[in-house]
Amino acid sequence: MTKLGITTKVTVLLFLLLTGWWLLLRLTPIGEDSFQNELFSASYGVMALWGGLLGWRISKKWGGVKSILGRSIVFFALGLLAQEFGQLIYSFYSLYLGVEIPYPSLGDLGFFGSIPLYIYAVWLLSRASGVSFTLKDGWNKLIAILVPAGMLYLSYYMFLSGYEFDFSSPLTIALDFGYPFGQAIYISVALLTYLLSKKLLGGLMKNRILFVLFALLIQYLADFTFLYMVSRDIWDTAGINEFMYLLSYFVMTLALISLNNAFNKIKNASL
Amino acid sequence: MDKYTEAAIKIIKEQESVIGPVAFDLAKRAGGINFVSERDVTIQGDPQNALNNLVVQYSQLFGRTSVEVSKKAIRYLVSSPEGFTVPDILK
Repeated sequence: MTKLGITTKVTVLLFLLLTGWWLLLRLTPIGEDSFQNELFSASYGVMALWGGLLGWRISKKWGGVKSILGRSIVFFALGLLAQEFGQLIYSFYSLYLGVEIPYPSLGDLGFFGSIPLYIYAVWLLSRASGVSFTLKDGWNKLIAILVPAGMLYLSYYMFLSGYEFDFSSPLTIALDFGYPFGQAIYISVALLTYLLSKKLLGGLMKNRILFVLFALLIQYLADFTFLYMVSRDIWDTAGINEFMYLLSYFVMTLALISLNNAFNKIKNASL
Repeated sequence: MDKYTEAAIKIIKEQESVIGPVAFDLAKRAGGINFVSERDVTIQGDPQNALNNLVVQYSQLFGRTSVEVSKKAIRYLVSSPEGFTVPDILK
């Protein structure tokens, strides 16, 4: 068994254990105990922590911050770690202090902070994928404008139309706009990377880069669902949205491991 | 330094900026590219063929994107082509 094989197995095992725990809470009376739900909510972020630490190690192989691909992995790893930071702070409020989570709070530093980290990471990935070479084409330039504009409009329509401004809390306003718009930006760059590089990108890295973009799509769906459920007051602790976050951390971790796989393939001269 | 060696070094460095030090591992496997030190190369045999092999090595990683990165690296040499014939893969 290779070292990489062990890493993948640990990741899958961790995911299965956390999924089993979540199912137990959803399908049995254990889930009626709010403490049990809070405990799961405080714990599943360990998947993001694991992925972040792995990503950090994998990035070094690709040159770390000195190369475009290495830097992209660094920032995906930091994004995962920021998510875990947010999870821990939120849980500190609800589990340790036993109070309702304030908004904004220190936890938003992690959750909101992950957005620019992901934007920068995926922008670097778009550079490694050769998107800049395709932007000379007029049609591609149009796509590069329309996709973000469409995503920003969708976010505005879903979450901000009819927004009532309370200028006594400017940070709240900034986050209310920053979350949906920031998330729209990272998914737009991911979509553009896919759309604009598909004729150019090939070789060993193609599927691996598509895997990272897919992971980002799942992260976006989790973020979108969170905003949707909170805005309709239907979000619950250890509910479906928390499982979506667990899934997104898992898939991102596997995507980063696949980049490690590619590196090992080159090093072992099997490319 | 002749223009082909210069082109090879430029391509390797440009690829290094994208994928890191593994760019050197791939370059070492390209036929016709010899490393005299950690970062210095000489070309053995047909220089156009050596550059072609180098770009093919990288294209196994990112496909045509790697070819475009290589083209970008030697753009300045293509604009003053004395003593340098652009290999087909980089045209």
